[in-house]
Amino acid sequence: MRAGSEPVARIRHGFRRVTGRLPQEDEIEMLEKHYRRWRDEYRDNPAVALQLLAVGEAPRDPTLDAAELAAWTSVASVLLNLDETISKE
Amino acid sequence: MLSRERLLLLTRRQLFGRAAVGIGTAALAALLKPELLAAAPVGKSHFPARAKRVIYLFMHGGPSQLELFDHKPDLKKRHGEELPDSVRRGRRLTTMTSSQKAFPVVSSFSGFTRRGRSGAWVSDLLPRLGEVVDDLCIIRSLHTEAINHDPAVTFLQTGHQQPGRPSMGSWITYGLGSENRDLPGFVVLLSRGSAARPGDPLQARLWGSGFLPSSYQGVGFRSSGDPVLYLSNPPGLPRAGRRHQLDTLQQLNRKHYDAMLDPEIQTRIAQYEMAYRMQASVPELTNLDRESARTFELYGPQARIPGTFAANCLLARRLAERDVRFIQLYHRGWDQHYNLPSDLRLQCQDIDQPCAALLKDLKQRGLLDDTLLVWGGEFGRTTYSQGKLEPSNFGRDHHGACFTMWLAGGGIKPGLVYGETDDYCYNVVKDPVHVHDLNATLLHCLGIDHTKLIYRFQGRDYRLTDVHGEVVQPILA
Repeated sequence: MRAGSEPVARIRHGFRRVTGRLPQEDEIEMLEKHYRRWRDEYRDNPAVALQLLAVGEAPRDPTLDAAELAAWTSVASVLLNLDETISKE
Repeated sequence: MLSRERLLLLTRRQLFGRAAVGIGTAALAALLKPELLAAAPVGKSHFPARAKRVIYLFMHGGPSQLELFDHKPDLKKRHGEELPDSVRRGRRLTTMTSSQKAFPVVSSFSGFTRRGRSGAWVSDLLPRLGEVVDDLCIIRSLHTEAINHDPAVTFLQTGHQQPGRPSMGSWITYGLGSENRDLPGFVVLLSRGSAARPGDPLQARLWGSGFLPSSYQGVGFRSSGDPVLYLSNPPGLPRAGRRHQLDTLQQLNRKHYDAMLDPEIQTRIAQYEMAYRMQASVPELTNLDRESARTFELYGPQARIPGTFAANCLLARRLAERDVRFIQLYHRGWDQHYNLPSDLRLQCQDIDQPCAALLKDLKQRGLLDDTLLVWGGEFGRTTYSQGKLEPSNFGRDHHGACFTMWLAGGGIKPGLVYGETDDYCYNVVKDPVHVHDLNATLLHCLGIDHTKLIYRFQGRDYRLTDVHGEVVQPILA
């Protein structure tokens, strides 16, 4: 989230970190759509966002907006599970 | 789009696979139709199948045929005598006994009783199994080429002693496909025998798919705690949300596949989808609340303890009910180099009641007719004692020249004892059944001609039975 203030900058940053290349336009589009869907859901249900953020050992950064952080967690989960992230063709 | 280099790397199979899947929007629809995927299962049998599925009870370590099924009462008279060279015939021995000065014959420490209408001899260590002997086909004339565990298990499971080829369960799910889209077609359940030692090797590659697409590899369930980890979604992620997450992931992976055409990407997509469905199907599978008290009585008290052989037998029946194609159990601890009398007794206590229960249970539910049940280990054990022969203690080394397995169910003639060994239980003298013959026969029961289930890899055609194997016609129903 600190990699940029715009969603696209964040997506480009995350995608590059895990795959070693920049995402193409349609890939950015899919991930941005994904982000917006989850941001809306967690904004509407802040308690659910907090539940998700309580999972895991690392404490969450309280200076970051919870709904935003939860939505980007979902994007990160997709990025980390890409075939391209896991195996090199 | 495909880069030029990528196109040059395409295999024929990948190219045809791509043609079948199509591109663009059609690709996503194909995801839900696994039969359209590249290297999809052949999906049909060569002739009518007698069995639809297999439950393979693998007794890892090499159970002693001399104490369990191959009754040699005359050996009592020769107990302690040196094994004659005319019987030993210079056969290769393992390095654990090859430098022994003496090879004293040991007669069986266990008694035998004729059981059932067929009157087959069964060890008194297996009283419950004796109750169902009329349903078994006992083959006393198995023989293998390997004399050490790893090559021998690998040989029995893959048709080759060196690692790297697909396991039988992979061949069969590749050949016939899966009939339950919510559970893997090939499931592996492990249990530790009461006499198992920490060093007993059992590696996951034994249920690997080798050069077949990795979607055909066996899925091992854990033997303690939850059988499959992380089945529940974390708090804050509802099931509908998980679906949406997978949809995005699938879209991106699909795009990657269109660029790369590596079928392993399709495997990964399919496995994510399988994992999603298993979030619902596995808890239903492993919830034993609706099993009756009578069922637990049948399988014995251990059936309530996850990870025991008894619990795995009950789970195997539940998997069979759900039409899982290949259900592979491994029970470890049959490697009695020493302390054979006490340790073999323990091992038999682990498996006797559950084996009989599984057979009775399948039968009463009408599942035995189309389930092929296989029991056996990777080899047998020597007639001579490993180490010093003491009045109440001895051991037996690995022996590949003869050993016993039993089959039951779909396509197999019940109440039959097949094959014979010599008076010393050292060599096969009648109706030998080689590992390739056994595997050819198992495939036959499933409606597969073992000479036609072929996969080309690196320019060579491969079969489970290599270029060997004869179907053992006399044991077919």
